[in-house]
Amino acid sequence: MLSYLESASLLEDYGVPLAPWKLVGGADEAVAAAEAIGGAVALKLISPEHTHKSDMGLVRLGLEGAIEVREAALALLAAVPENCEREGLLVQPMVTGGCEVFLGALVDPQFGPLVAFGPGGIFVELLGGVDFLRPPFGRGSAALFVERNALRPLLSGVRGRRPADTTALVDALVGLGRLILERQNDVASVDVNPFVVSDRGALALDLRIEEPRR
Amino acid sequence: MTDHGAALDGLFSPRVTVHIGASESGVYPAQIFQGLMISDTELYAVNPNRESVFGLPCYASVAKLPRRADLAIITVPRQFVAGALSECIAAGVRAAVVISSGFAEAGAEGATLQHKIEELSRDILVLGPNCAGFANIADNIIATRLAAPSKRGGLSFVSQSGALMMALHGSFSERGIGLRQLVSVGNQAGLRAEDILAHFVQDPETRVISAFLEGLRDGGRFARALQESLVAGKPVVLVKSGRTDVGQRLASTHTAAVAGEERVFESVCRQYGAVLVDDVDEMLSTSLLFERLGSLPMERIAYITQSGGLGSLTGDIAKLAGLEPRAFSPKLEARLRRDKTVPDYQPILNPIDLRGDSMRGAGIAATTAPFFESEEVDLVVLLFAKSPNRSVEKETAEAVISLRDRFGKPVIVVWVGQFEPAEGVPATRLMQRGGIPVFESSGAALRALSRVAAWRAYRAAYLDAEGGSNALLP
Repeated sequence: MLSYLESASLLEDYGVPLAPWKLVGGADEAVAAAEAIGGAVALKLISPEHTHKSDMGLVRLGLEGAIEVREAALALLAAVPENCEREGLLVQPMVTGGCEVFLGALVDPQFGPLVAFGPGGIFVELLGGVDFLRPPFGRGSAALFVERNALRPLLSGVRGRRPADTTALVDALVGLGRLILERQNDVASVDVNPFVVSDRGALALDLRIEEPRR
Repeated sequence: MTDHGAALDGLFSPRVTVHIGASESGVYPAQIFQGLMISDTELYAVNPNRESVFGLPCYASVAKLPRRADLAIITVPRQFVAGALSECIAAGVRAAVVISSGFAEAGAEGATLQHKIEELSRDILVLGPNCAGFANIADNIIATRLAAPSKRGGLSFVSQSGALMMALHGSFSERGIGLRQLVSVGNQAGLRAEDILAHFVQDPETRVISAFLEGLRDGGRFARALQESLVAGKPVVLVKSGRTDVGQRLASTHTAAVAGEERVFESVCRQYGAVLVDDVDEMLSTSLLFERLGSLPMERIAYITQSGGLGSLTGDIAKLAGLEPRAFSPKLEARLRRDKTVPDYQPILNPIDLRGDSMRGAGIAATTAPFFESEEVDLVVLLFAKSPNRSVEKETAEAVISLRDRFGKPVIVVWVGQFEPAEGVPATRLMQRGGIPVFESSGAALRALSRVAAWRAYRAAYLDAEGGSNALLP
């Protein structure tokens, strides 16, 4: 698995927009990072051994002020054993509203490089509504793909929600298509989950890149 | 897999063919030879144990033939297949169809024998083993067992099942689908279904492609063939077995695990516009309409019924299928009033009820002519609910066929109440023989029609999205 740092920079290289983030080692740095970001923050413990962060209680959301941030940071650091490999604490601004989707890419044993898109957050496992798109494809094909996806009504704005700006989503799909085509020898799969699409654009909140098994 | 291109033309259109293992006994050795005897190819028989077969002299081996064959059909027992292929290679034969069975489908020993064929397939094109051969209807090369006469046309079909290929040939023919090539790939030691699909895409006379698939080895080649077919404007109608056999459980958020094999297959079909249907009846219906409609317009449909009940039911089904009937224009309505096509008191709707009297016998030509003549009607759907076996319905069938021929406008017939009479031929069969698509229910007809409409719409959107050029093809 690529480190968070490597994964984030690879995704940024291919035009996948990430929520602002800072990776720090301890509680003091987490407080400083939270102050620099401003407003409520999310705190996550990044460890290659724990990929299901929510399930493991390694995510704290909506933290406001130095006291809350410090307390959460210390708790997260204590939540995994001392000998557990950890990359650091991820500090991000809270992103509210919008539609959570799942973006991914993989090298399929039969069809080769593919981009994946479907319901995001914890629902990716429950709904199984993930569709795939085979690169190379341009913005037009990506837009047509989004148009034909079961998520389309959610993105169009339901129950008073404003229609999402799918431009950023389409760009991210195109970027992932290029990424998995060009890097299929050193990337086995990419998970961007959740990727939040709102009327103000789109941001990746969590990511993970697997390398091929040698 | 390399692109076989022209080499496959040699396989399916041989000038000289040799049947190795030709015999007067055994279903395949005898019936395939008889098919080849009436095919448009120069035929030789090889069988060291016989003097002659069905009156043709037998040669002891391929090496002894007076001419080099383009194609070998092999029906010898499995242990002799590799030897026969080696002889073919030595004699310069470029393609072979191995009908013989008992290979990978039959245990370890068979798998070893098949491996040998796989090695030899580097030096000769191999279709099979354990396949039912092929039929090149267009060029009259019948290297399989066909039970019915064929109608020539634009549909090519590839099947991983030999039995289904032969059986569906009968169904295709009965439904009036014009055929070009039918190929069964068997155990795919050499050529694979993907290669045959790619060949159909390249074949200029193939206008519609159908396939029965079980599994793929080269998904990339399959996907490229679908994409090229979409760009070329040739619909691909697929049935695939094994679709519920999900290889991976959705056990983690990891993408590779989320990618159930089936979901990926469906996505690839969707992306490149292939029409994936659940069963062979839908494949037949959808292929039939693609083949018969070609690129004729179909947006504006006139539904004409002889039964009010069938008419209203069809209206519902059409709306649900996304083919909502449009109202006729005042101009057409005035014409219908003038011609007294409907009584004064009857409103003119679509579906329009013309009742039994005017929808029977030669008279149907005059009553439906306004719709065939009208520029606002692209496609006529005729709806009947009655027995097709009365002698007057023979005239109905003839009138419908001549209307289609006279106006060049496509016609689809829904005939509820079809059954074969004790003697004679029902009107529905006559229409099918005349190339009119006939369905036993409106649902079957309109589901197939909506698939044609959806494919056309998706193709237009896809070409638009991709800039309408071939430049995007990898």
